[in-house]
Amino acid sequence: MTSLPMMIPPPPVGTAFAKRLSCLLLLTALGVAPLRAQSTGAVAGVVREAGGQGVPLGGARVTVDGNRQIVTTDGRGLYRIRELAPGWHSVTAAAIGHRPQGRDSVLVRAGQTTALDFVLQTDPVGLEPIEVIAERVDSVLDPLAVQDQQRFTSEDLRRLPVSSVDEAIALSAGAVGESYRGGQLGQQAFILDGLGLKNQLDASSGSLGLRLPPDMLAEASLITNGFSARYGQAMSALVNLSTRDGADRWGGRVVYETDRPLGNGADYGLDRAIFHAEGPLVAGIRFIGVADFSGKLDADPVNAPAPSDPRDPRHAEPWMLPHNSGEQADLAAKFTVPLGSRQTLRILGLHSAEQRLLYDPAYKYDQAFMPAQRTSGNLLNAQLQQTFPGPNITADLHFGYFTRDFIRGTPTNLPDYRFGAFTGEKINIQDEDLARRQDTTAARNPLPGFIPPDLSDRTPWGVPAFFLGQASRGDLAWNHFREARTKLDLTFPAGSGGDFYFGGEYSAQRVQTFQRTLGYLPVGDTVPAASAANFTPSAGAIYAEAQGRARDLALTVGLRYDQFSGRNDLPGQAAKTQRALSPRIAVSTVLKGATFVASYGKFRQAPDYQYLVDAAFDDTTRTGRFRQGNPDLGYEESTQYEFSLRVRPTPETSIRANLYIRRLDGLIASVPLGANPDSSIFGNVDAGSVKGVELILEREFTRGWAARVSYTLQQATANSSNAFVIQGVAHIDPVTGDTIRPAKVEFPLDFDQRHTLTAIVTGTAPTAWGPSLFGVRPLAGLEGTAILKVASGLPYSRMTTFGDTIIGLPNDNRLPWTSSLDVLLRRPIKLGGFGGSLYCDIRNLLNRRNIVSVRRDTGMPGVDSTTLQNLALAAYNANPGPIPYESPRYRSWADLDHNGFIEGQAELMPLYLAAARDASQPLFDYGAPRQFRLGVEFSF
Amino acid sequence: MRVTAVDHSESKPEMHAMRRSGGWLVAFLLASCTHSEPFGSGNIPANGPPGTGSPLRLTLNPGQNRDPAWLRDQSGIQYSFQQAADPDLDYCLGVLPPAGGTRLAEKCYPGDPSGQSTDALTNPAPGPGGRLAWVEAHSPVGSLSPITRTIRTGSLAVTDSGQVAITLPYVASSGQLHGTAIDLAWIGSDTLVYVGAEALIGSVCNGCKKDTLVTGRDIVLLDLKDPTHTPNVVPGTTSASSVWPSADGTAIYYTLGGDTKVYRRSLALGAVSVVADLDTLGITRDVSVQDSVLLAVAGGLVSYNVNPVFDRLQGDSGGVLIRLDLRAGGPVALGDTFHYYRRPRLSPDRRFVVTEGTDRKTGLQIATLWLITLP
Repeated sequence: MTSLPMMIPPPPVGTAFAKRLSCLLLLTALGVAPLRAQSTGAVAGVVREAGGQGVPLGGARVTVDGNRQIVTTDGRGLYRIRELAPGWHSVTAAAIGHRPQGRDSVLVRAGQTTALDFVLQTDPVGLEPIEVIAERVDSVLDPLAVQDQQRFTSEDLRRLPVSSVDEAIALSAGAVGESYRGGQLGQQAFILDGLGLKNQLDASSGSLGLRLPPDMLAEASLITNGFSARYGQAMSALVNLSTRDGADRWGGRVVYETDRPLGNGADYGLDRAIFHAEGPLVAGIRFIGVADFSGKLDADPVNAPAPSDPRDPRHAEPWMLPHNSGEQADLAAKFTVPLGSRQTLRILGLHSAEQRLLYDPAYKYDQAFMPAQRTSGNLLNAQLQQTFPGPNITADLHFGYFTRDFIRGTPTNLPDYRFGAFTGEKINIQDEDLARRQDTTAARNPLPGFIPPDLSDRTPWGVPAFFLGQASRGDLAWNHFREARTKLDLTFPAGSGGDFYFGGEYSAQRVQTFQRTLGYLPVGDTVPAASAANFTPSAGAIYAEAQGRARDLALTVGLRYDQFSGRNDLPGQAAKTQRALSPRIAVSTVLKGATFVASYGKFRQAPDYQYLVDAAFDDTTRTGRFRQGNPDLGYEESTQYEFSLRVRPTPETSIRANLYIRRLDGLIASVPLGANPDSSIFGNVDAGSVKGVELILEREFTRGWAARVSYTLQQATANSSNAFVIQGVAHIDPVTGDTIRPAKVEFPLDFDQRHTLTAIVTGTAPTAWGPSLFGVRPLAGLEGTAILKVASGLPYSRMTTFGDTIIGLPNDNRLPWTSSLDVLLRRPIKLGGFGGSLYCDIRNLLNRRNIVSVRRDTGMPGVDSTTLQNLALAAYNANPGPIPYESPRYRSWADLDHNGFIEGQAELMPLYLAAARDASQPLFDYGAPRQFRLGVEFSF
Repeated sequence: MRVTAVDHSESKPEMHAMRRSGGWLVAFLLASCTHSEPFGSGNIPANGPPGTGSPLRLTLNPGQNRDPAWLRDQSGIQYSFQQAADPDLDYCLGVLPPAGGTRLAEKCYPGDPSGQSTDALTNPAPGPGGRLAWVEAHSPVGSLSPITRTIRTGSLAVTDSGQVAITLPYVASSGQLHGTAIDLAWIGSDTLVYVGAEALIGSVCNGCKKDTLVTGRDIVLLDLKDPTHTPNVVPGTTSASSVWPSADGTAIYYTLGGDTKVYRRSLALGAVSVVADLDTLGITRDVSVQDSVLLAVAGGLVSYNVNPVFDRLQGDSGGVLIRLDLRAGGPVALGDTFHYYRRPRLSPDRRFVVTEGTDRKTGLQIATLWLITLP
């Protein structure tokens, strides 16, 4: 709270600001503040009598969606209806002696208050209500909208060339993939229908395990500042997802999209089918169900250049990587159950399953031994909303049960593809049962079924180098996370100008992990024992938040208390309870037609629980290094200051500018431990800062088109670029050769993308537009959207050829700029009584070859000729022996003297060189290629 | 068995799509289209026979190439080969095509990826139903004495480490120490027969480099159904140098150290007869018989003596390959005059002989495999 004066900008000319501030402070002191939630929205306004005076009507009744929610205006004619689900609602105002007015399409957005005023005509005889056109809702200039929210509705997603909610969110300013405002992965939390959702086990390196089918979505938004004290578990952003309630009448759609008819170069074996139905059941219960299945024969295609050697099998078919398929199934169902005029129960069930074969370049010629993984997630989310009529208190009770299961290892069965990449069967993992039993005793021996890999003899080059075969790498990892979370939110209205929030949540969690590396070897000096953990953390929080509004000035003040108790399975050692207080405050006002928002907040998140347990690395044969878990880790925290300015130069256009400074502290990094220079322990030792500015220009959809351009300039630095980089890293002085341990210095974070530009243009052709062909206008009603993304390169560290010493400072180098152009064209169709569309979705239309990573030794995607020569020579020196005729390694074309042997440097080195060139192909250094999706959609 | 990338990709999508899904929409979308597949891998064309003529050299591996044995369906030649290019000099099992060429399969000991020990899989004995028996030994690199040696049964799959049939050495009922086994073969599906031998460190001649000298002690029958896996010494086979089971498994053919005769013993009756005597050709060993055709090695670089400490010793570096029709005719020398031969094995169709051969001229004891086409 002491930081408040810093937040308030210099007063403008005159005393208006001072007056507003006084009023605001008074409101705050009285504990009167308007409501602010993020999973729900509100409608507020004033009801007046028609006529020159516009007398406010006290006691007028305002209802939503029939009589689902009813409020009455106060003596000043003010009303506020809270906790409305995002979406379209009908709102009606009525007063005795006046003609009722209604509006049936009031858009409520999460975290926003829709301003809606009514002017009622006097009508002593009581005529039928009339529909009125309410004043335009301006979410840009709304001074109550203190958050930086970038929203996408399900309709937006339909227009955009994106396939998932995540992809849409990634189009937001400040987003770099799933990193937000320079934060590391996992510093965001998901809010699904008001309840927090996070993979607390390994959010920084693993997925959530759940995907919300876009058809379930009412609205998704990315909130990057001042998020409500209601929510924790996040430092950089909240991804706020609100699901739809089922409709009042039955409808739905079926979608199928594919790229398979497109042939070589464009066929990645993609199929996706979506089935969506919603409608009323019995007793007013509404239902929506969505099944979303997708499969790709190459789930992670790359735009890497074809190898020049015609003997390389990729030379002729460089498009698709084998053993890289993936299939996903996302199932969702939601029931909305009215339990009375003021109670609504919403039950959402979500199941996601994904299995992937993972391409490992070392097994290019022995693909059966490449790894595979499965991830699944389940969520049951129940929300009971109750409005108490007397004090008009709204209570939201949430309950969520979330499980996430992950396993990666050697597949025991290769899938039998039945349709595209769909197998209809589970990929089983070798010794999965042992991992689930967490049998570390049995795992001291070589794991059953594992033998060491050998150098492959199935390569075109024959020589024993670089490529592996015979068996897998012997890695086995499994983890399981489950959480039961309950949350109560209470909203106390204080008239139309304020609300007070109070609530709390509690979650009980269970973490189970198992990891074994080099499973073909017994545990010993150079092979770390299997690590396993089984513990039951718990976390709780309470919060209070108030928001007050006086005319165009609003203030939000919140305080959140968090605590978590981590690992409690260590013998004789009680888990330490970590506690933290996080104040948040935001003030907003309108100054000369522009809305100005200043916010300050402290945000904390418990560390990934994976850092509480030991980590073993598969390079232990070389270094014996080991990373020790730390059960006493505390919160990671971020303190953010932000200033936002929103203006509307024309009625259709708006400009938003956000300036932010985030101070990061207590981030997890590895701290040297013991004598072994490579051994370390996780600790809350990293600190850094993020500074940036976001500029968002929008043209709203009028006259058939809309546009949005967002630009972000930011700098994100810290003492350590990620949790696995040892804090206080040493490097070698290139001149003196001395080992230098730098004093405290900040390096760029891994997601420090300095410049990001995203431009989205969308338009719809008129229904009678374009040339006529046999009486049909093929371009009529055509919808099109183009997205241009341009970004500067992410940082990376250069290493020596041996890979054990950083050249310069960590993340001292930058990748090249990247760009892509994505396009979606959609043509509505009518088929019988059904509507629908045909569409073509093209990603990376220009097929730009973006470099997304480089070799750390060369700073290039590939190796240079010297490195190549050295690699080949080292491999030759390791195996200089002749290759006889009967060996599977013998290649007759390499036997220059045809004596039945490939022998000597003259015959062997060309093979080793070719193998080195093959093995160092920088496949995954390149981003995705141009990809098409042809789709057909039927709605009913 | 390895599942190749071809197997993988061939099971991929479109054929299945058309065959199984049957959806009109899919059929429409996929009609008249060919669909790309991931590149295949690991399908290097095998090389054919290394040449023509007879004898034909099958192996150019600079290490030892030993213990050839025909697969029962004559689809390949099982043998053991030494990985001479590797510092640990492991022995692996391999399968060559019947006429020679690129090895069809390999099985090496997988438990020592860092090359800390010499791991030898030798004496492969193809059995019924793809079963395989072999002798497995492990020793420190450079050591002539193994730390462990076992006879195992299993399959050719790399992941199959096999079941231990018997651990060596053991003292047989004859009082002899059996430290290893040679001429390992199957009788039926549950019995192994072999020459229990002793592996001694010594020289076959004055001034020769010390090497492992393997000398036979007894012929042993090992009943795998017997839970105790007790080695049963065949009476009268003391100092046996080779053994070969008859095709019907009712008898064994064998030779004895320092002897020129080939014996046949009925396993049921114990009756012993001499089926051949190559007395003018020298010490006879390495017998094998298919129908009436007998192969053996006689004379050559062989020595036999009785040592006061180690008893009867027979050192063998190969000899002349002899073919004898037991129904008629005299012995015929096979092969050329440039090599000494060991362990000849007649193909099931009796048209080919695969045998170890060493160079007579250089005197090097590096064995290679040769294929001899019978007239």
